[in-house]
Amino acid sequence: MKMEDINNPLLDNLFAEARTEAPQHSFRATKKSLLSGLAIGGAGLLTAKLITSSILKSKFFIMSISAVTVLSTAVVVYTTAVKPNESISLDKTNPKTEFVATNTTMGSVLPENLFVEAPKITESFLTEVEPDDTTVVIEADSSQKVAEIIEEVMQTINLEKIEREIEHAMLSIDTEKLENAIEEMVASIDGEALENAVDDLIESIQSIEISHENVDMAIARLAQDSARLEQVKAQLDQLKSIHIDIDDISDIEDIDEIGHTGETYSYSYTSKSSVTEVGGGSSKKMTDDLTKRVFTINNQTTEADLKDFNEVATKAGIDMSYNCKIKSNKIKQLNMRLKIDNGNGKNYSNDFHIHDIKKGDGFSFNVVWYEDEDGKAVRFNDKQSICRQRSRTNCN
Amino acid sequence: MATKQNKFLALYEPIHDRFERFCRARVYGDLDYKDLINETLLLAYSKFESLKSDKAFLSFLFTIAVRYLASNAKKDKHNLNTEGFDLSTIADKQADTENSTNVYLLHQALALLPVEQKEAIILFEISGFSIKDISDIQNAGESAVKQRLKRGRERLTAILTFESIHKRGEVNL
Repeated sequence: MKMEDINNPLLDNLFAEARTEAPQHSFRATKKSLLSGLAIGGAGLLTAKLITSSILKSKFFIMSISAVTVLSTAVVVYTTAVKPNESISLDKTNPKTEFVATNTTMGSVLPENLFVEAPKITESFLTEVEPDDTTVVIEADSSQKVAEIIEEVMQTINLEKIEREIEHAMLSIDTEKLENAIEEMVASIDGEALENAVDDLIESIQSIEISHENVDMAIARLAQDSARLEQVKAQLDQLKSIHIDIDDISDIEDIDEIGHTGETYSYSYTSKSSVTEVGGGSSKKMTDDLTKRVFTINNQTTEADLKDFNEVATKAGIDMSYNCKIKSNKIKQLNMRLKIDNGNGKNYSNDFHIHDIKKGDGFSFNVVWYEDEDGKAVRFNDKQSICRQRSRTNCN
Repeated sequence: MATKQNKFLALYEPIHDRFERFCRARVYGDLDYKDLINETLLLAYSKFESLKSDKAFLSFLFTIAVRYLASNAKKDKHNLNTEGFDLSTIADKQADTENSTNVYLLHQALALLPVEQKEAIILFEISGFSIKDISDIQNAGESAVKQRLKRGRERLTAILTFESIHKRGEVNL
């Protein structure tokens, strides 16, 4: 080989043309193909094509086989179906159909377009056939028609076209746009803020301390409150059970009508209830027939009221003594002693001392005794309650 | 991922024309050059992290294409075997304009060369690689590459001079 052959200007020109030739496959198209290839999971395009093609071919094969099977079965079932009392008119003069005509006693539902003929057997064989043989031979025309239909269907399914469509659809996926959209979505989520919020939530959950001691204390408080409530209920029931003679407290109602003068008082009080047994003898039986007498003395009680009260007490057999200081028709100081001698060796006494009443304050106490059927005081109430009514409190 | 993709495409765009010409000339009559381009790009993208320098992207891409074809040839020698190969039976979709007639003839002539020679000539003459680069791409010595270039040019000259590209077996060098 000579060197001039190697430095062939023809070759150089051809290579120069090849170097400067415009590309036939643009960068944009290449980019699109590449992105499509990346979108299908990084598998090569050739691989993808191969897989798609094989899947389609397999599918098509299965579909074809299934269709042929179904159609063949349908034809066989249709042609072998027999309806009673349906005969077929065949030309008995024709030796071919004579055999069939004589042996289709049950008749059949063969369609008109199907050609039915006697089995293609020799005459000698015909003589050996039993008269009740109902063999019917159907020529393959119907099967051919079915095959033609299947072929037409297969032709109408353009495999290449489907493949091209799939490929085109894969190429048309603008993965760049899709990725950008996903990136924007991800970027729009403020991961730091979300993380902080989750951390705060976890911390707040962890900071909750369930102290058994606190729970026990709360339960104990609840039990204590319940006990108090029961006590209050019991007291209320006791108060409800007390029978008050309305006639006897009419004086109290009168007292209520007296207005407050607003003068300065200062008071202090003491109450003493005692039972002194002075001699023997049987004590008087206490029954529920005793009548309870209640008198309320408060800062609005007048001297006249006290006198009236003294009369009532004396009438009930109570030895009552008192002294009081009245200013502006109001009790300023009161010392009162009530004594019952029931004659059975027991003496009951009640002492009330009220003084140092300040301006704006009030007082209220009940003098309670029980009378028998004769209207004589038998005893005082076991519990004497005196209420100091300060300016900001209520006396129940 | 988008950053990698953008970077990859940014590196590829300026060399697309060279690579497209190489692929078109290299697989003329064998494969669809678009498939080769796509397959090479996918492989290059999957191995993009191994690229140490952006300047090496050109040879990186060509090396992948060459080695992909080589491995493909091992798997399916029948496809790339030029023995018994009749160019007259090829329907060249690319030679559809008069301007590309010469290039079309060149591709036809190149298709008759042995693979290594054809590849070396395309890389050297069309893609513009140096002998050293080609020796790296083809994983061969420089002298071997020179031999391939020399013999390839000789054979090409003979093919084109005697206008025997349509008659296999008439070119005997």
